[in-house]
Amino acid sequence: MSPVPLLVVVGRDLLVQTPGEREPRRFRLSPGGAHEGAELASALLALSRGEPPSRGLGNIAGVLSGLPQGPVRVGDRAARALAEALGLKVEEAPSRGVAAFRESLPPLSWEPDREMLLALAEQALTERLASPEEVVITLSREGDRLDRLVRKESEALRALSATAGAETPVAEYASRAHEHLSALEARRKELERALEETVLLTLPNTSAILGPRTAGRLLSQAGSTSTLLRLGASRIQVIGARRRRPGSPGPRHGVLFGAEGMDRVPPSRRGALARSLASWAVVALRADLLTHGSVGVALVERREQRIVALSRGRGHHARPAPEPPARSSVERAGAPSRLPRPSERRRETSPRDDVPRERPRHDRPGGRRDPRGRDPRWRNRRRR
Amino acid sequence: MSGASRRSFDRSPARREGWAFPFPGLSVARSPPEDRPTFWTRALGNPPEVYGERLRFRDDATWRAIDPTRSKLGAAMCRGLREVPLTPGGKVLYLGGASGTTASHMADLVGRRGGVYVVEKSPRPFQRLLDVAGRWPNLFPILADAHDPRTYLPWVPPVDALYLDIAQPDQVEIALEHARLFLRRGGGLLFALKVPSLRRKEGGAGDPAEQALRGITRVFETAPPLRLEPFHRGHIFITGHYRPE
Repeated sequence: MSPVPLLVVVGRDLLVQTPGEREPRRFRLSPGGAHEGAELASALLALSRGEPPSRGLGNIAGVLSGLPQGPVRVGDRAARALAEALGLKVEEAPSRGVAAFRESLPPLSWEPDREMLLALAEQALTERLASPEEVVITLSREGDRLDRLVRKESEALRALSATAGAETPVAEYASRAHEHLSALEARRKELERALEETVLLTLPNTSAILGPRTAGRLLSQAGSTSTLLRLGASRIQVIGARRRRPGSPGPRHGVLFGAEGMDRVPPSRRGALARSLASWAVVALRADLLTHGSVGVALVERREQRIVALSRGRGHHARPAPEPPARSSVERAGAPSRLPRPSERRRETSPRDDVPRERPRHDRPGGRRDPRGRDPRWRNRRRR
Repeated sequence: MSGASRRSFDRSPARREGWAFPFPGLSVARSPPEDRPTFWTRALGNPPEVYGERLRFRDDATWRAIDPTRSKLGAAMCRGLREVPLTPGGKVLYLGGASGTTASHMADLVGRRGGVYVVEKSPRPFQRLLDVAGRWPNLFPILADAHDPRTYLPWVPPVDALYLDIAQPDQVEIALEHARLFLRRGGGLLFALKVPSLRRKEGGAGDPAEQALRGITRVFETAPPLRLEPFHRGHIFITGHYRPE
């Protein structure tokens, strides 16, 4: 046995194994009455998450008396939270030691407290589903479901009203169905408002750049904020896109198709805007979820510039000349403030700057990477 | 129960066919249309239906068919799993329980005196799991992430078997850590390993599945792994016994 006391929580008890003693000492975490049912469950859950124990969770101070000075080893999160609340120096016990100690306990101390476990599970589920992240996901999925429903219903209704005569039962039924549909639409609007409110609070920067609806969809498609943070821009760009046939060009946009500003660029340039939006979304997501900074305004400005550029001509070639930056002392001495971009470099050496440049080879009809016109399978493909 | 027109339905484990499953709650029937055995567990829960599985009523008991396309354990049985390292009355730690389809069959197998502790991290499937757990007396749901076993250590006793169905890049490490923390010496391992999820090690040589197996066989005495095609793509099923050092 290690010379350091070992603290392990078993069910509702804190067990303390001190090196000299044969039997571990047992401390009830709920002195009955005060903590029962849901209240006990949420207290134990908070402990297991490593939060400091709530007041009155048993006689914790009693543990302190009789413990030798110095560090203690803890087997689990709850024991760690308790020990830290007592002001003890804590180190994590190795897995083998914890397992050996637990197996040395009599099997009776392991009879599962079914009621408590179910209460814990229910409480954990309620807490999790109430977190802003899950609220966004729930509302967003419900919104998408309602959208599909409304679309289907209105389609059916159109078919009905086309066949409806003046005084037939069909007409009566159609008017009833119409009421039903407008009620659905009202519900949809209500939900939209609730969703926007939550998204604006949880993902302020991302909803500035993409719009709250799309930001919510992004999160609901990814499933969780931690998954979303792991994704790069290339993945964000196509998140929510349906799978295509193998061999076809990949998708240009998934849920980003509905992003803010997508409807203001010509269809052929939407892929380009989705690409930019995705990279800004990554920045915005990190600001929202990690640094809690504010980058929305700056990103929206860049988005607007990009939209103007894309709707005017061809991508960054049409970008308005950037404002000259304030000259630094280094620059005044004659050095450039930054390296020229590749595009600028090329332009400097171009012999005929005023003549529009030739389209790159992959973008020419009949070019090497564009078999349109040669291969019948490609004839009606849109240019990407 | 003989007769050419009737399906054979044997309440005792079908030793004749070479299965050595010592479970009173399991029976095997050979159904003629598809030439493979169907496995049935005696339902402990009431109402017994969990996921739309086939039901039969014999001898005051309800038997539920394990659907091999829904359950990796069922698929492994169909693919020729000969020994299940479980014991009736044993305790099982089940990681990645989802909505409780396989977990409910497992609970049937270990019986009333056993217990299945199911860990699931995603809240939406967990809702359904909670519903199943309300009906099964020996099923204990835990909403937690298997990357973090020390959050649920207080609620899970030392166990006799460990079942994993988690498609994570570090699923092997998770299995080993749980074995160290929870599994008794000699306890069973049932591991539905998803090969495409495995992380390819930096500069590691060879097949990631083989690397994973090498890691497992270091502390487990394993049977040859089973491929779960055509029921589940990219999965192999590994069974074994815990023999540390």
